[in-house]
Amino acid sequence: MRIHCPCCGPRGVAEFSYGGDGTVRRPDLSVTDTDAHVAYVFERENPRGPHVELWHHIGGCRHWLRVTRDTLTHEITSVEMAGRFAGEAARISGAGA
Amino acid sequence: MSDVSNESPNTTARTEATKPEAAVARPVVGRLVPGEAAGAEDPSLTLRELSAGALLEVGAWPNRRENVANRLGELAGVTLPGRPGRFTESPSALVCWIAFGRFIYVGAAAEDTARVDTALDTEDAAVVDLSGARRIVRIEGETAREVLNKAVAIDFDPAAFPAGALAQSVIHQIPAVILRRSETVFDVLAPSSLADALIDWMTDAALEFGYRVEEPGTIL
Ligand SMILES: [Zn+2]
Repeated sequence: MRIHCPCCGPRGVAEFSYGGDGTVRRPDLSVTDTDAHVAYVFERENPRGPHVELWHHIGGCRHWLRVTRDTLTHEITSVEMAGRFAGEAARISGAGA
Repeated sequence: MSDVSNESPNTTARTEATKPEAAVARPVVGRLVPGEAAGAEDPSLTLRELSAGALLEVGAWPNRRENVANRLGELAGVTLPGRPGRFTESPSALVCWIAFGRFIYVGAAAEDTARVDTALDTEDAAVVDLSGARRIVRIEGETAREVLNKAVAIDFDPAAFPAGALAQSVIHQIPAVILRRSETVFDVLAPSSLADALIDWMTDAALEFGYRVEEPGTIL
């Protein structure tokens, strides 16, 4: 499996580490409903098909990526920069070519 | 992995006087010994270690990249590359744009460490001195890209990866920055503590093409 990093270009999966489900959001810390926190920490869907997940390009640029991957075929349909440099990445043309 | 021992099988037959010469006559694991050659009568590759006066990593805060890029360009006397994955050089400095918000500044002079540090506002960027934390190995020759491709699955065709291109990747489990200086010249930056292991891997990988070790040089 290869991931096309928006910074580095296409790289083998061995350069990346998996960062989990990219859709979960931590409840605000003011939320006192413990079920919400348990769900955030432990509960995950196990989808068969497209899945949004986080990958860390640890062996390359070290950016975090939000990757849409089909869990059945490994087909990757979208890779976006996650985090603080997402805006900058969008403004620079030619990166990751 | 190469033989980890530098001892020849007939160690017992050695005399004190011949020991150093005997060690140079065959590959020395983890170190490049100028004059050493291996693998072929007429080696097609050369290896050498390079030094830099200063080597700094510059981390721009988000949305401060333009200020930082302009400052680094002025300091180095270059127009910065247009995107990450590229570097530009002048006779006095080489600026690598390694990732969004991150640069490596390689200076010919040791004073560049202080120069870059004082020139950049802490509101714009953080500067980390890596001068002692990186070693640089140059591999040169028509087959240099084939050697590197034993470790990294990156397209080194000049159309995809021309002179001026760089890649951060992993060689032999060692995080490395690969700079293509020209079609046949690649400079590899590796953490100092792992550079011996990189050299060990590289001499091993280059053996089938033959290599000769040249005197150490400077990156600029
Ligand atoms: Zn990357």
